[in-house]
Amino acid sequence: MDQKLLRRVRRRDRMANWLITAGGLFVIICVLGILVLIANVAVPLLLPPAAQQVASFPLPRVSGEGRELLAVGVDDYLEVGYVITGQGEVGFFDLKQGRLLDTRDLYPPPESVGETDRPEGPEAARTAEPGEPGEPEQGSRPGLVHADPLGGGKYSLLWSDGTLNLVRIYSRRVFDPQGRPSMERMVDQQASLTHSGVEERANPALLSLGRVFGGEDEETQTRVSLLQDGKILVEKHIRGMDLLGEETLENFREILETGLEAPITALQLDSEGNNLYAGTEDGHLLRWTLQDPEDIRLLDRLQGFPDGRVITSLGMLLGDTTLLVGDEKGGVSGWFPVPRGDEGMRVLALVHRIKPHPRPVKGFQPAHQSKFTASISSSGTVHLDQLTNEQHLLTLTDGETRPGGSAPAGAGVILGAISPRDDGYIALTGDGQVILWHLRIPHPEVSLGGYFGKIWYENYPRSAYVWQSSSGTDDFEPKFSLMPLVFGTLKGTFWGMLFAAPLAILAAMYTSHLMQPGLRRYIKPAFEIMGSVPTVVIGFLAALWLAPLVKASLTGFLLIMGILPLTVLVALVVYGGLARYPFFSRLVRGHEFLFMAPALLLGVWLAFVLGARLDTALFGGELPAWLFENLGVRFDQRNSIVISAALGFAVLPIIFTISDDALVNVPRNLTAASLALGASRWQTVWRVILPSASPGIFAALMVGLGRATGETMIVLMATGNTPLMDWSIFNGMRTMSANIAVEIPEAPVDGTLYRTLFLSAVLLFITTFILNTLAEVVRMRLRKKFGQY
Amino acid sequence: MTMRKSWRQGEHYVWGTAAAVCLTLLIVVVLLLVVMVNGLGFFWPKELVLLRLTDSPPVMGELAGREPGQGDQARYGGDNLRIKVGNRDLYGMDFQWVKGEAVQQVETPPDAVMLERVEFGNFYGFLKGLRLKDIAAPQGKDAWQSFKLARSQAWERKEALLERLDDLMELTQETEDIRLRMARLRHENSRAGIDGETPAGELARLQARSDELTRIFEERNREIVEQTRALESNKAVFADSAGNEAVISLTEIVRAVRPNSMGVFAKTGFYLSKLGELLTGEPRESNTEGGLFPAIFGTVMMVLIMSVFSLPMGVVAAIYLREYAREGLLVRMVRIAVYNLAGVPSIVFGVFGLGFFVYGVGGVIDDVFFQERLPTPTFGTGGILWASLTLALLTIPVVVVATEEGLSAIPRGLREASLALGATKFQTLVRVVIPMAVPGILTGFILAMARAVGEVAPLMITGVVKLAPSLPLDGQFPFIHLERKFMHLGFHIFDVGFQSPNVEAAKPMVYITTLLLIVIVLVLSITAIWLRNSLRKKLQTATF
Repeated sequence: MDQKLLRRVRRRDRMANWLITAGGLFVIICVLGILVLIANVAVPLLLPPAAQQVASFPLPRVSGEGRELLAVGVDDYLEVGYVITGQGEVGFFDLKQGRLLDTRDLYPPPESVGETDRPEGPEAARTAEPGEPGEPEQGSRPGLVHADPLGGGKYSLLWSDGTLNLVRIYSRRVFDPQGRPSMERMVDQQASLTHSGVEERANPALLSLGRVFGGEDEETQTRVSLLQDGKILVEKHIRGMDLLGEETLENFREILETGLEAPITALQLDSEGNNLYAGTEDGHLLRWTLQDPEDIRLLDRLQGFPDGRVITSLGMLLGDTTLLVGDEKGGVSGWFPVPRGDEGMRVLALVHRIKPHPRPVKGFQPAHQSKFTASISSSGTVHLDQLTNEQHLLTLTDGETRPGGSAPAGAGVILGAISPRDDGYIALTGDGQVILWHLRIPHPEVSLGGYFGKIWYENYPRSAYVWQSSSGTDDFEPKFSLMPLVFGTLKGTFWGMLFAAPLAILAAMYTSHLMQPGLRRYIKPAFEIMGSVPTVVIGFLAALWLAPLVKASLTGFLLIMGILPLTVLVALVVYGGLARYPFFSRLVRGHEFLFMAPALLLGVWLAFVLGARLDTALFGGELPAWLFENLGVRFDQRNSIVISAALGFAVLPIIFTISDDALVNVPRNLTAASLALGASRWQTVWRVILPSASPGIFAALMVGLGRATGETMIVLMATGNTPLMDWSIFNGMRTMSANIAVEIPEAPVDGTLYRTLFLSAVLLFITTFILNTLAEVVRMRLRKKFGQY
Repeated sequence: MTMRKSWRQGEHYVWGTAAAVCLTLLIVVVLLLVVMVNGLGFFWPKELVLLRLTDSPPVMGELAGREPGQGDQARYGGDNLRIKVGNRDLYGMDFQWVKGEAVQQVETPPDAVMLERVEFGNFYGFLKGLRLKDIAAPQGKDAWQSFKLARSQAWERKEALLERLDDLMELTQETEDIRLRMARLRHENSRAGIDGETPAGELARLQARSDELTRIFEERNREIVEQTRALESNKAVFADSAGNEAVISLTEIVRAVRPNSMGVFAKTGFYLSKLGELLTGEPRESNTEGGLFPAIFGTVMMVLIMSVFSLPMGVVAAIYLREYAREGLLVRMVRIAVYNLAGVPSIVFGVFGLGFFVYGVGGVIDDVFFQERLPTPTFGTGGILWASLTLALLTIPVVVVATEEGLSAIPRGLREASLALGATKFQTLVRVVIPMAVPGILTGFILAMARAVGEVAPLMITGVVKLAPSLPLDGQFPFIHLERKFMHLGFHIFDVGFQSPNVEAAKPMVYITTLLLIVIVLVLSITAIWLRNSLRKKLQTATF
């Protein structure tokens, strides 16, 4: 033979060998890589949050020593930090080199002092002069008493002369003519709120909180001051427009008293100036509404802690609903008004308790984009906690040793702030060290406990399983409990299988051994064709054809379950009587199902006629309305009955096909032996064939279960997609698969919702994979067993 | 056989199982019947009834349903009647309930007109006259004839105008190309640095060309708009059943018939013309009317692209598993895993497609090749390629299973004979095994297509849209636009049936789409089943 040809043939064979092996392995790896890749997206959800200390240096000398430092902060880019001193200045420093950049005065410019009626617009007071420390005049100028951070670099500042002003400190990126970027540090004077009265000279404010809320046309300025005699002074200035376009100004003032012996130790005002909270030395919490300045009311006065511990600090979580309470024992708790009893009644209640500090809590620094908060205790440690699911995220301690020895006395964080993008924490220690941490808390709002446990959300009367992933506002509390979805999936699967499993298995028993063998050729493809009907078609018919039908004659549908067996029984008696004629007997044998059709049709017709009669006679026309009025049962048009039929229709063929395969493959000699011993055909099927094939039927059920669990279009169209947890057969549900289809197009990439949906896809994948593997292993063993005969 | 004996032998149980088979088959038949009756009947022109009522002006339309009412002696047995009255622009809704007892007289006026319009659904009424501007009043025998002639003239002109508009669209395409080229140039400049070599001349030239194109476009567009406006002022006057006049532009009227005076042949012609429009026309009125062509085209194209990936990959994987891999625990596990993927929910594949193909691979492609268009994504958003790849993954297991079945059914003896004759493994595979397994492979292929045609959930998140502005295949370079979004029959059902503003009016369209989809899927499935059975038979006869 031609050697060349032979060589070529061999070479080709080797190449093909390689190629096919490589190709085959590639495809298999690709296909199996799916799970890995999906899981990869979901994994960051469950990674623990992390903090990394990136800078630590002594605070550069800000002009005017000797006064205490009131606040510390950091800009959006974690490049520039600043401190606010008791002198009333802000000192900016570079976080990389630890070098002072410049100092700015925060005292309101003279033209705006004393003009309560003309608040300044948000415009830059000074422009930047990089590298040149400012030279504010010292001397007679009042000092800064208190700096209250409002988030986003805004502060409400109280001066020793009683002046209160709002400033915003931030930096922005600018480009010089050469296109080089540099950071420009900005201080905006936003508003100035002075006292309108005089008597405060004798009774000066210890603490004042200012808030400005509103837009162009209407603006409300609120100033709340804790006076030396323990009373609270509330002042409101409302600027608006009247009908003629003239500017109007209304001033209100009111003195509030707590009615308690113990002095107020902490005061907090929400960002719109509508709710005022106070904590006292004996553990009382008070809440006033300031919304209507003519009707300022005390809403709550309650003993927050039975042991009467001192409330040391208060804070407001993002969204202005949850009040953060820190106490002398180091406890950190979240409170919000909870609906109680009558309509509209809300009572402040302790909702969340999180990991306590060892020492009294000194202050809160809520995050700006998420519902977690930092808290500092007097031991100098910082805790980061997510309130919603009571998860302790991180503990930050000043663990670094200083150059030249161990941490000196006085170390420990005394002031701190979360960066505007929640990605950093800047702290100032007692011995004058500045520390910057990078925070990596990408998904604080979720945790395993949160996915599968009950959580008490804001404005809810109790803890609950809730899925509500998004809303119109940014400070919305997303609710990611997977339980309603898991529940919905189980409920849908249960009703679907209840419909499909008995029908499919009985049908398989009949077609495999009882039916005339020649007919199998036609019946089996019929079931396969049923299996190929697209699920979107089934879902559409279920929702737009079956659902209205079920609603219109619910009684009839419920009656079918009772009447069908009855008519089958009647048919049995009739055919049993006819069976004495051998001709009929021969005709029927193997064709029973054809003779069943009239009985079934009759049964369905009877059920509907009776149903309509019953409706008019008993239920006043319509069962759904009757159910609601008399039993309080809510009836959804897209309910579990519809799902049962639709999902059942979708999984029936697969259960049938696999069961039928298992039953048919039972070795002939077993059947023959049974029949030879005189067993009837039913006895053979029931006692011999079914037990031998039962693993196959189990496998069929597992595969069916897997299909029902993951089915998407049917449930998407026919369930109504309400994530409720209600076993009622008259209600719908929302399943995991439909949830993915509904929400993923709107989910921002790599956000919490996106990853959570991937997580539920992983759950679906694993569930169905386990079910199918189980089924496949069982089938393989069965095949081997049957192979022996 | 006596009754008691048969009872003892468990015959009644047999009947019980028979009932299960019967019930299942009945359900299948009912499903098919519902779809067929609702889908097939819709195009057949229905009789228009004019109901003269005792308490209000007469109502005319198609009888759409009835339910038992209070009265008992009047016409229609006192049933309440649901009439499709159309004229959405006049009445605001398409359907109206009429109390049976209020019906005084029922007529079927032979000159009642049904108009199918571009907007606002159907119109039912009577022709009153013509108000023509620049169309010569045709010399018809009667008003109806001349109306029909005028209408067809108006439509001829409208079509010519539309064609010119299409030409105009090519101009916009060119403008867009220039815009992109400029963006790319600018992008390259900025990357090279401002001091880099600036092809400013090139930019200026492109800008000039773009301006010129825009000028030409505006000029021609104005011309077309003027002519269209002139054409639209040719109107016909109609009156509804209550005598309200409606003046409708001739170009608004897609079809005009008088169903009550149509014969069977005329009705058949009407039916066929509607069917033709369904298969080749564009959708109208937010998909609730008109044709399905883009959806059919999108479905077919998606399935073809999917097949290009899924068929070879599935076949190679199956050949590897069955012919090359050494049977062992690992291969068994891999086989189970691949088989199981057929049972993994399709939405999981969709999620994978979104995360991996769309955002992963698509994002990288955008970064590398289409940076000048960012942040507008090109491949980094759903498109026909990603949808097809996702479905390919979904259907690979189907192909693998069917191919393996085909391969395993081939008797060992044939392979051994081939090897004994000195053929290599590859030669045996190509010359002996594969030809015999072709029906098996084909079965898998067809089943995969059937599955892909009917699958919607993964497509919804990887590139299907309710209305795609252009087909993924057209005359624009590079002709096949894999990044474009597309329409799909299955999604069309979901979208029109569940997300259209007027679900009641959209229902017939959904039924027709459903029917079409079922027909496609059933034809594919039946072919596959037939192929598989014939394969089994052939191999059985070959071995024994």
